[in-house]
Amino acid sequence: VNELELLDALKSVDRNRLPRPEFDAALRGELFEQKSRTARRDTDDAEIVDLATFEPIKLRPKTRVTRRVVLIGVAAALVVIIGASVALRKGGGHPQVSTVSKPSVANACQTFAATAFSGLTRAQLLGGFNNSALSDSGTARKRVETLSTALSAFRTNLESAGVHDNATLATLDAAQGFATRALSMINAGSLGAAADSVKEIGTQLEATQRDLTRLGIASCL
Amino acid sequence: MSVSVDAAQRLEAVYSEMLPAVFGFARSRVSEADAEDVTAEVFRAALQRLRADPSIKLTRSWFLTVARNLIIDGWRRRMRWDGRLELLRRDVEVEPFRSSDTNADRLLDALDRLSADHRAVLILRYVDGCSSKEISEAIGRSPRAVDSLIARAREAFTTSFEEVSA
Repeated sequence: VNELELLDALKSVDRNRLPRPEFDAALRGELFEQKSRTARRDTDDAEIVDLATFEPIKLRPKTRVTRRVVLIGVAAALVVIIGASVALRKGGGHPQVSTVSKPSVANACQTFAATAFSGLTRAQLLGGFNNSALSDSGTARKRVETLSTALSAFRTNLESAGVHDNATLATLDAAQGFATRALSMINAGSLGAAADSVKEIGTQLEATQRDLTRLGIASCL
Repeated sequence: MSVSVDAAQRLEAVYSEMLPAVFGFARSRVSEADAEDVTAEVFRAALQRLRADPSIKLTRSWFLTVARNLIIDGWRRRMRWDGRLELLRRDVEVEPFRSSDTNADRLLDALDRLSADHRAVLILRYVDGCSSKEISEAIGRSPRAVDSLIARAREAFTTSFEEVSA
């Protein structure tokens, strides 16, 4: 090894690199989930401020007694409802499954497949950028953006169809994460690394199909 | 919309672009675990900055300069180099990183095998372009001691690269 060449090459270590996807996801969660928590807190604060502006109403003694009786009734009803809810959970049921609309899920799948692959076969797109239609970064970026949009719509449509299964939705979130990562890699000029991320989307879609099958929905992806 | 929400949304808009730059910058200088810590700290600092001053525009140079300062703080803690490391603080230039090199991963592996002080002086000298005099003033050693340290670091790096290439 020529030491001088090696030291010159050392400059090339200073370049864009992506961290582990797990780290990326955790950091995004920390930075941007905080955003939604803050939004919720702001809304809550606004309600408190609004309520604070109300003048207290002076009630007659009889009204105060009536109010207490009503409050006790509400509290008792809550205890019954919470107890029933806990009993249902202990029973091990999955109530969310029963609300799934299979025709709507099938429609969501068809819409996804029609838009996500846009003229290519699933294997052509998810197999990596090894065909002429995806060989340049401009085309690849457009394809991955389309895929990302379709994934987002697919998740929304599945939820609308009654699929609230955490595992399924988390798998789709992971696919979306790989799409974001692929775009970053394309922007960084690394089509090879982007192709790896796109292949991972395929893996996540296969997992989604397995989840849907588990929920009683036939193969649709 | 609150300042906090607005700040997070503005950060989110540049996150994907800045993440590879910040992590890549940190990763060439420190281990993967430390690079992740630095990266997280940089983005937390960005969020605070945007909250404090909603009108500010955070540039790539800002992100990399914060990363560099955090790395220098880490070197100071780890190697007990005294406070003159302040001399190394400077704005990082915005020039794009060099294109990817097939050797880059092996070079990084070789750097990961070095001691922290060897790695730091090599990066300062050959990546950041600091002179031996600047490094000697920053770490509080004589120029001759720094030259000696750099020579040992170069030797260790060459051996390390041969090992990872074998």
